[in-house]
Amino acid sequence: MLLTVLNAFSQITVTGKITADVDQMPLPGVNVLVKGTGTGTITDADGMYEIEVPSGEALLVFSMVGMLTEEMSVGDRTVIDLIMVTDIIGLQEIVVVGYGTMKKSDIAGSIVSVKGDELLEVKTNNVLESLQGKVPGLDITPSDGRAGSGVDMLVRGKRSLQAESDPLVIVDGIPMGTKVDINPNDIESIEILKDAASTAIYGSRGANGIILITTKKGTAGEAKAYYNGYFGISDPYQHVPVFSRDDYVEAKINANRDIYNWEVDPDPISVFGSTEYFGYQNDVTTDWQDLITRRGHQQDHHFGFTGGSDKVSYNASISYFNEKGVVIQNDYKRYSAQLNLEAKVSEWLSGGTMTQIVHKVLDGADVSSSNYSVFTSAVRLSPMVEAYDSAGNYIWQPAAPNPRKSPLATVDDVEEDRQTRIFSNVYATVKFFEGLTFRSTIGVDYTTKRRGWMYPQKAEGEAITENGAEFRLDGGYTWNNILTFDKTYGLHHIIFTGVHEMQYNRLEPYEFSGKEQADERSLWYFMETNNLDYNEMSSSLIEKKLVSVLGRLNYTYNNKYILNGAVRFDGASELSSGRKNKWDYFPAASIAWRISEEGFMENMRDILTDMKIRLSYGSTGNASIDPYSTFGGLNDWIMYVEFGEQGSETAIQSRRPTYLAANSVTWERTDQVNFGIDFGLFQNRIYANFDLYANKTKNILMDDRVVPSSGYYSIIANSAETENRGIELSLQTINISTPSFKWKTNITFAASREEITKLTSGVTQDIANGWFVGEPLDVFYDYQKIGIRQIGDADSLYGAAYMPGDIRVADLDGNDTINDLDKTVLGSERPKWIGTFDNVFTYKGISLSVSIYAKWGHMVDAGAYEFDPRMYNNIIDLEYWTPLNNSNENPRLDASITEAPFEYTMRYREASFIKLRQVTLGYDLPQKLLEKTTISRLNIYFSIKNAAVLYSKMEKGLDPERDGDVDWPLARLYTVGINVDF
Amino acid sequence: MKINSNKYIMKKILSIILLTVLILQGCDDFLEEEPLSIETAESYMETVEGLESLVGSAYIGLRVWYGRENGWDFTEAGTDIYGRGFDNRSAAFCTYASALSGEEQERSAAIWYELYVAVNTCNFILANIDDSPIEDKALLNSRKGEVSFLRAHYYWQIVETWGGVYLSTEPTVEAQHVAQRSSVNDFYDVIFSDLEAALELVPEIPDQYGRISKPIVEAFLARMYLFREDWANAKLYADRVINYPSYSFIPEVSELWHLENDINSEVIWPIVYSDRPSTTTPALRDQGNIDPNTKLPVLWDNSPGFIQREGGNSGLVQWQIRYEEIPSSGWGMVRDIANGRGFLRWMPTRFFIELYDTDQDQRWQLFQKVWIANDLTSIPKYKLSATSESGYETEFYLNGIMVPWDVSLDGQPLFDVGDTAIVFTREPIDTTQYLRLFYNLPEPTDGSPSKDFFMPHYLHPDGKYIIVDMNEMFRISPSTGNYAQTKIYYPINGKYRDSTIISIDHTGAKRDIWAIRLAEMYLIAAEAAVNMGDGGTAYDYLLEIANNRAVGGDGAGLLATYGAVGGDDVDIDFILDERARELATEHHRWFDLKRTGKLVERVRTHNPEAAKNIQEFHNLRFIPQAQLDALYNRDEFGQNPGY
Repeated sequence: MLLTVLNAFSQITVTGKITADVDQMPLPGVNVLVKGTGTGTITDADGMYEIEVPSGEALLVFSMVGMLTEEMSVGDRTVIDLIMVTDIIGLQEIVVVGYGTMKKSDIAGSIVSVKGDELLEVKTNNVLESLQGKVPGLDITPSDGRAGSGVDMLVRGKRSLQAESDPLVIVDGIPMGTKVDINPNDIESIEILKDAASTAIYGSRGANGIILITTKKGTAGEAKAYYNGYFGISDPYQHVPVFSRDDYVEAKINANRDIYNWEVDPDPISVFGSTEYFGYQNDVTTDWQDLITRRGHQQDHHFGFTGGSDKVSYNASISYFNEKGVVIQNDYKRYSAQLNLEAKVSEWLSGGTMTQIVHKVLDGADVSSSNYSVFTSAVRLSPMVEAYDSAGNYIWQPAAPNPRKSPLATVDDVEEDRQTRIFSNVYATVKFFEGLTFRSTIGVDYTTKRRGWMYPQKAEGEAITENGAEFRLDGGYTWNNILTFDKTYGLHHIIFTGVHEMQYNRLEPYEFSGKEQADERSLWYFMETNNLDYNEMSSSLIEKKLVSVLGRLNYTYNNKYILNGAVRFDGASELSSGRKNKWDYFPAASIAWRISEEGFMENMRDILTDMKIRLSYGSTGNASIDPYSTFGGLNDWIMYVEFGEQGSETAIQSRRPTYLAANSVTWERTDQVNFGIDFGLFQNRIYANFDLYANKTKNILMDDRVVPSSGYYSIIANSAETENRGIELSLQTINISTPSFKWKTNITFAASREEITKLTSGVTQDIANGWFVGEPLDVFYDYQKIGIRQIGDADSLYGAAYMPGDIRVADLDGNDTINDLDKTVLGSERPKWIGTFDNVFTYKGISLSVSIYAKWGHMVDAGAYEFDPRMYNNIIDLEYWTPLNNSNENPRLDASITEAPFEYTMRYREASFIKLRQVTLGYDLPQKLLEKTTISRLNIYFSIKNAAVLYSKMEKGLDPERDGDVDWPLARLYTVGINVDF
Repeated sequence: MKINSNKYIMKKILSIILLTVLILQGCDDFLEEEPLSIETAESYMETVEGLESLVGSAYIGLRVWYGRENGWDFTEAGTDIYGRGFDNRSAAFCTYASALSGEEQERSAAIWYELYVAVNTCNFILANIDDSPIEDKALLNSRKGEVSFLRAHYYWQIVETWGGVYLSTEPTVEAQHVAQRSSVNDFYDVIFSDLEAALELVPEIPDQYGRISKPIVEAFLARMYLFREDWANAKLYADRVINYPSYSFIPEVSELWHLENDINSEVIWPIVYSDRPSTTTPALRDQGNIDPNTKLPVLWDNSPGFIQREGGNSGLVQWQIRYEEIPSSGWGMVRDIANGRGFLRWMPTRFFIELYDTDQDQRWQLFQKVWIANDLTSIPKYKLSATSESGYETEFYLNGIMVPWDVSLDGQPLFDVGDTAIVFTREPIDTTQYLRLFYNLPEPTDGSPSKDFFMPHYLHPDGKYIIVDMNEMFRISPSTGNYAQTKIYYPINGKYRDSTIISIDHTGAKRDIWAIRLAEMYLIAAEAAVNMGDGGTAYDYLLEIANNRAVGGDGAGLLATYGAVGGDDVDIDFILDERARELATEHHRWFDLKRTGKLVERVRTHNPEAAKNIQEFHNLRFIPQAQLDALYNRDEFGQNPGY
């Protein structure tokens, strides 16, 4: 009271100009605050401010997003100019946490924030792919190269056996599922919540980590238009190294030799089928991979407006993405529109919407014989047969009598996938008084999908034509109500958040298919002309519901001590009936200490600029099993039994008890402890985050195998337990920083070890599922290949049928026979560590970024190494065993056997690799050049994605990132892009 | 103004809290699942449609066995009459090899599981049918009888295949992790009591062809008494069936097996298959589970694979050979519907082929031994060629000397469409009189086997068709002791042909499978009589069959050819031979050999590939690993001895 009175008498007016350290340009929009009071102002367009302070004792706080906050005591000055330093680490950034935002420096959990600009560095149709390597502990396996394909994600490894392992993706507060249909240009930031203290706020499914996406909003100020676009060319950069034509011929002949009479040439007509024999005589050479791949391209155009007044702000954009895939007939188009609009109705009421509408069209059949993809089919086909007949038409079965369909037939197979998705939030915020706000959001996510297919006579050869369509309505709503109380009392800062949330999702799939339509041109649009006998249909309704209530308290004292606590109650419909099963609660707590804020650290601040220690504990749940899986009951597919005389049989739809009811299925639960240190050295020119975590998952939802003789096979149950430990490190350094030249380095490293600690009681291994106590979740369990049997080896172990040139496997139990007991865990899909090493060099307007990615110590089941002793299909160009070439690596070829003994062991490959993932060269046009135009910013760049494999453990240079999979060619993408602000 | 607004805000807060409380109270209801596409078995027992669907599903277990690859693996493979074909996927069943591949494990696990699912389904129906509110008691009784019969049948398959394993007559209601064994006698107690119950309940003529009837139960009882060595009852029940006026022999074997004659007076128990596309096309969805989200098939994510519950009778492909790949390029043959598609699963033994009299036995005439060229482009042409490399089509050798041909034939096909392309013959050919196709391998003069990796391809000098004799078909490799051939050349039995399928892709067809046929009743009666010391009666029964199988109806002549002129010549081996001639490929053989204690003896004598491996313990099959892996009391339950 006294103070207030005094103040009234001694007001001082302080003015000044704020400029930025980088370009010495004035900084508009800087917050200037008299510390400890509500008095404040912001700088104008010229960076100027004017503020009244009570006395010379007063402290002025200058803050702005992206800049380091500065405090200045007024003293006897009336003019205070300031050069603000760019906040490289972003400690002052506002970070989105669950159901709210926080200052980055106040966070006690393990949260990584990635800004929109960083996402744009990697050109991809899938925004999540651009996170690869940016977040330690987030393992992203990129799309398989098909146009419009998705990614696989894991946060801090896997812990659940059967329930979903995908992190939960939340866009502007509303769950979006794992298919994220947002143009990367529309994204403001992405936050990845890794530790349980951060994710517990999301209770259910928080166990797999949370990815929060915030879309761009309009900012008050002048209206601005922008355009971003790029054009890229992609080439399949890898020819799968199968036998060349001549080597194939030789291999095929060798496969027909008798190893005891090697010198005897087999008769060519016996070796080759009729078609291949023609090719043999006429030197036919066909490169199937070349025939079905092509130069692809991608283009992305994104155009928008942003702006607003103090009442309304908006950001609206439309975009168009088009990708022509590297395999024929594979095309993808995406049209999207986005509108973020916010209106301030009154002092206390505001509202708005964030809406995305996406329409996607995917073309391209992926149909081939023997369940192979079109590309695999091309890889495996004989290189010595003709692709086209004399009339120029493709030959349906080019390698007859091999029944493989020509991959070229895909040009006639029609498959088209169309999806339209509306994802829209509408919200209202009520501000009761300073500090207490209530926000209610209704989010609607509605997708319609139609997939149609028609396989015409021409492409089907002898078989009959087929067509069909699948139609799905997938939609739901999320309603959440958030009450936030945010207040500073002197040195105490308190945020309380209370949330009520309901989610509802329904899926209605319909599918109908048939054969022999009257006119193929009608595709699937006139199915009543099909042969009615073949028509099939199916439909279903699947509903899923979740209700949650939670409360959270964040407390910060003097910016030094941070204490958070939260508890969430969740109820999920998928679990067994009854409140006891459906509901559970998930608590979390964390503390952090900003040591650098302590007085005793004052003197060291030039060296140790910032330091925070964090410790958190949290509990999260997972209930994502299939709806109705606890119900039990009859089979949900239809079987037929027939009775009656020939020609007039009646078919009875037969349903029998197939699923056991599970009455006590409840939440799977993960408890996690996280310890972290963040520190910045030398004015934060070196900044590091270090995290150490351990988590334990109990009551894991899994199919518990029951004894088959009970007439059932499995039941959904909570039984197993897993443990998961790891370390994560990220290090950002500014190696050189002069006004004209900068060199920044960003290193991330994550290592983890997961382990199953318990399966169903009394069981240490579940061979059928490949689960072993003490081992990670995804392991390879098989015989151990130890070499090749050589001539003269007396290997009684394998029986008389095993011949020289066959694979030898270890007799691990030493009982002189090879049986199931000799199988062992050979390796795991999970890498020992993942690291990235990114460098950005900037010279004036030119920037060069080089991104290196490494994944180490994992094993894969490499489909590329699929073996075929008969050489019925082409195989990887291996140095196979012959009596003249005693390889100890690969077995012999033998046309008389369909499967080489233990041939599957050839597919297990260690897959460590280092890859130059992306190189980008960019140029910002100098402001001077742009001043005379309406363009405020113009950036052009050139980038190469999938630039080079620097090291690969896998032979033959197969792309290691795709695990030696030959389903689809991986493409190298060359992009030229432009970003313009008007 | 300010105060008013605060009041307004307070009201709002209160109403929000109130709303929240109301919502939370509704939560429990909100979270209950109300599926529209899931049914429980109990609710199905309440309506006629539901009951028919459940009872129908009790029959499904038959459709994984009869007319199916798995069923033949368990019943015909690895016997004295059938061994391994080139594309067989279950070597362990054919040769008793000790190393089991994952696929063999899965296949046997699939059958094990399907049979027990069938048993559990029967258990469920039998436990609940008496409480069903359905008023049509006649229907309930008939269905109860059918299900009782089916349970007996499934337990018979189980006990004879694996011995005294798990036996239960109660439906499973909760997750089981342990299982106990029961004795073989306990199994047969259930089997006989179920069959007695069925006999009381089922009608003599069922309401639908293919459902269980009184004669079926009696015929199966006859078979069961034979298995229990109760000869008198076996003969009693066999005679009962024989005496039904509706059953009689069809004197022409080709008529009996004619597709259009699918329903005839020899059929006692048919497993009905049709050509309805929805049931004969093995759609993907029928092979496994359905993802509840997508309604699309998930191939066996929670049950073992390699089983097909739907589709038609697959015999048309399973037994067929790949005539269009003989030799690998084809010899005037392409695959077509008339000739069928070959899966090459089981190859007859030499013993089996030689069991038949080629002239007198109609049943040998049912075998296909000759293929007629159907494709001009794959008929080789005479071709003038200077180099030995490329002149294969036209360089013929006789005793190692090239046979010259008229150069005016250059470019002409060796023969025409409609001419004979391939012949399998039981008579050994004098290879010196036949052309040899290959130029670069001299014919061994010392009589040692040819070094050709594949067929040496003898050609008939006139017709230029390929001829394969028994010596080539069953040539044993001196190094491995296996057939040196790749098991792709053999006559095929004609019991499952069907050229009415509309696409060559169809692996299932409309032909019914006859699980019990009149001839079996005569064979049962004959076997019972022999075992009771009455060879004369046995001979009479066999004569009745032979009279209908001999060319020209001279049954006595046919039996004499096979070595029986009277009752004294009939012994158990004679009956087993006759069963082979009559019932081969009809899901009997392995059980017949086991039942008569002749499995090991006959396999050792007649099936060279299996002879090396078979032991006494092979009278029981191995218990699938999937069962053992799931047992908490795995050691107590145990694998069958020897495995």
